[in-house]
Amino acid sequence: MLITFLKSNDDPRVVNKTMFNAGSGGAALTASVHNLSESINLLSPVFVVASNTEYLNATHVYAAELCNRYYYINNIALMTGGKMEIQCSIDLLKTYETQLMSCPATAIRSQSAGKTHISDSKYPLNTANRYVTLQNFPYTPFTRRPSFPYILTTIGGSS
Amino acid sequence: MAVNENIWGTPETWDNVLHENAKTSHQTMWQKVLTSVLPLNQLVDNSPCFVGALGNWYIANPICFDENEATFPLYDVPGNKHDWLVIYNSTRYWYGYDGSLSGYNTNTKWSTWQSPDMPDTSAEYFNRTLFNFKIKKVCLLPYVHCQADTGQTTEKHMYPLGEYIASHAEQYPYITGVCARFLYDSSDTDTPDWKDAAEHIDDQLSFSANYNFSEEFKNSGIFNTGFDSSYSVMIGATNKNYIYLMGFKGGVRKYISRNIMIIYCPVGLDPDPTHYVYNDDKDYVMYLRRWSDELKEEIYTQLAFSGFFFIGEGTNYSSIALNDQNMFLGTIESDNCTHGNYTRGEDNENSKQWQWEDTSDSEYDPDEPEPPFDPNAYDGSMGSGLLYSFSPPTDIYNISDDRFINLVSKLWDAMALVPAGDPLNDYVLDTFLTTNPIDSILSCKYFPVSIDLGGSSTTVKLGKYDTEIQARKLLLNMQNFDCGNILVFPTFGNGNTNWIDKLTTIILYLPFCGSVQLDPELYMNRYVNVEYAIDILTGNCSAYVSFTSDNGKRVITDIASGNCAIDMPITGIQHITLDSQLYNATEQIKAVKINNAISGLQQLGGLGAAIASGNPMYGASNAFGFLGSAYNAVHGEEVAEYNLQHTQLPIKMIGTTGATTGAMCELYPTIIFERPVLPDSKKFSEAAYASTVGYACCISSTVSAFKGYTEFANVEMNFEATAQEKAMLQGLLKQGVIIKPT
Repeated sequence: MLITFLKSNDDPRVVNKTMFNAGSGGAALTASVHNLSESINLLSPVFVVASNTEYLNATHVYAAELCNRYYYINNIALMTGGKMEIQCSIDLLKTYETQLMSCPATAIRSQSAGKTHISDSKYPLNTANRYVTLQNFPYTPFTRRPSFPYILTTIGGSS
Repeated sequence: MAVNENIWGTPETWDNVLHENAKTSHQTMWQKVLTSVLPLNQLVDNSPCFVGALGNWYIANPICFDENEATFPLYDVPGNKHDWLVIYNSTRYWYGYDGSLSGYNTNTKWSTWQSPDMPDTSAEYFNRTLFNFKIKKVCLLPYVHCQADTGQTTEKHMYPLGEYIASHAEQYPYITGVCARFLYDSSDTDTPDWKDAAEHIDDQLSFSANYNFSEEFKNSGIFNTGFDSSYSVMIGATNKNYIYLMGFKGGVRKYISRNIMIIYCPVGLDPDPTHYVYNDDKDYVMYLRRWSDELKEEIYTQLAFSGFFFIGEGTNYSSIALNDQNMFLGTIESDNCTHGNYTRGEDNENSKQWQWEDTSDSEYDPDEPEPPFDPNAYDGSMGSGLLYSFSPPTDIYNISDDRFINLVSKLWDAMALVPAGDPLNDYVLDTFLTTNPIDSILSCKYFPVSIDLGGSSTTVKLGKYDTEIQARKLLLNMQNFDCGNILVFPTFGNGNTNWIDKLTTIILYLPFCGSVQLDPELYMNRYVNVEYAIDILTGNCSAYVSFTSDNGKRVITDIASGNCAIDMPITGIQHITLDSQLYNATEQIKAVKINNAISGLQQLGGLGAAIASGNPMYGASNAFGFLGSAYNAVHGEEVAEYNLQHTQLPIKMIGTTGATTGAMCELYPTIIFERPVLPDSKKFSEAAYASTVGYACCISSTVSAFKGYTEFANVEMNFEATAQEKAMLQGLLKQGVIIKPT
């Protein structure tokens, strides 16, 4: 079984990680797995390969024969006999990137949503200060200098 | 959807594409029946219906008519479910009164379709409904009939709707008719090749009732081509390629000598006649509507009722895709009926029709009970006005400042007029109707108003005594005054309301009436209006606080009352009354009206503890939060400190407010906004917050629709992976992932 060594600069939480070949100059870097006769854990496999210092540049392993799964490289142990032990754990987000993108989902926090009508208890509104402003209506029926201010009510006139 | 094969034949004989070989493939499917046998207003067979229409659609409810039906209801009751079907008609037939094949000028019975046993001579002609066709292979292309002005003889034009919008709306703004014709996709590839369905059948045109018909067809909601009297025309159904959307004027006139199939088409897109320009000539009546965005939306709505694809905009449609931005589609709702809603562009792919092979895939059952329909029009409004029949049996004068000073002195002059030798009391009584002349003045008030109270110029009369003091005698003792509008602008959302705006406290100060607190959820992004109604007799004033609803109606939400008149003491008794405020006190006790936000929160349940803990942000988030349990579960656990005291301004009015002191306070209605303050930009980066914490939301879409940091509540994972992997993925997505822009 061949595994391919890749590297990525992305945050581990990125779903659609960008992967580069880990070989020098961007060349593909693969290795043949030597421990196929032993059991390999699908989620946390350990691959024994022939020693190659270029592997130390990689962050990920791609195993096409394990149903196209991507793995983080957690540790590389140097073994005797010119071998290396690649200790991995599955990168589920990268492995199922394509499938996940088309899945229906409900987001409850999102960078791209912006401020919405949903109250955000994490947002640090300033509780010490308030901003007070006034706005007068444009018109009023009242004045302090009325021209005809007196209303006189009298007995009905005999006109 | 089952089809009555006794009427329509077996599936092998049905058309699958609009009009393909239609002319030769079937016999005529209907014949004249006596209306006494078949009840009016009923379909013979609903089974060809692939969608019901629920609502105010003008092409619906196929029925047959009695020739003696001189008038017809203007439009159906909105809300009734309509089963409708497309009818293809190229008949050159008409039936005589007695059922024989006859020519012109015979009174025709309205006909319907009932059984397939047509006379042999009808073989080359047919009328049949269209059903079981590939709905993704046909679309409607709307046209407008238009002209430059309202003149009867003004040249008339007809353009596809998209072309009209793009190039002709300004030049020909008056619409006399709207129709739609069918196009069908003749391509076998994924790229459509839209052809005019008319190519397959005779060249007939249908057009608006506004064209120059003779008297009997004038103002008719149905129409005749006029080009050749052997042609028959339909509204609502396809006269080969047109469906008419916009008839004019109500009623169906008696139709003589033509054999037609009628789809009942109530008048117009808008039954409100004030929306039409009416050109009244003694021989010619025309209704026109001025082009507007509202009319365009009405056209879209009417087309959407059909459940068909239709080309709503754009000028290049020869190969327009069904998910093109200019392609619209009537939405079939969960009740399998259309309600006039539509989608466009890629949203069409989410429709029921998109999944159909042909219309037999429809789930619509015409025999199902009518879905419930909201009969309310929600077009009410609230208003205010004067009482015009209110006339007190006293005289009311409006006097200026300088003339009022002279008034009382005139009473002294009155005493000098007593004829020599006459008892004073008799004179006074006769002149003033009272032994004390001052009592002829019933009240005197000072109004600090700038309103012109109107009235007619005269002199003040006290009883029979003319003081010769110039004044204006008022007829109306009430006045109202519009103080204008203020927009409660959502300052934190770039013109759109968000949750921070809803934490704004809004106090509306009303001169003489106190203050009211306005609910930010109700008033945000709305215009607040204040109108004063002032009673000149008593000095009472009321301030009506209102806003404009979403459908343009006035909504009065608060009424605050007070007294703006200052009583001027005329006698000793009145002065005592003023001092003790026996009168004013009862009219002027005021309190701040607090919008009871607390009770609103408590109604949501379980929030008493949260409020008592002084953590009102929790309560606020629930009050404003348009909730899903997922949202609650996440946000309820982490609550920011927020002092409820800070949400209310300490404005109070204690005790009574006399009009005098009220006049010394602010005289303009004023809104006081108390808004939260955003975090200090030196300590808080909005961008960093967005990319590391994200903004609270509740948005449902696909994962790819989101960009950047995102926390998901639940993702539906319809792909192959182990159960453990899926569980781990859900956990990762809930904790938060980052989606890079592509």
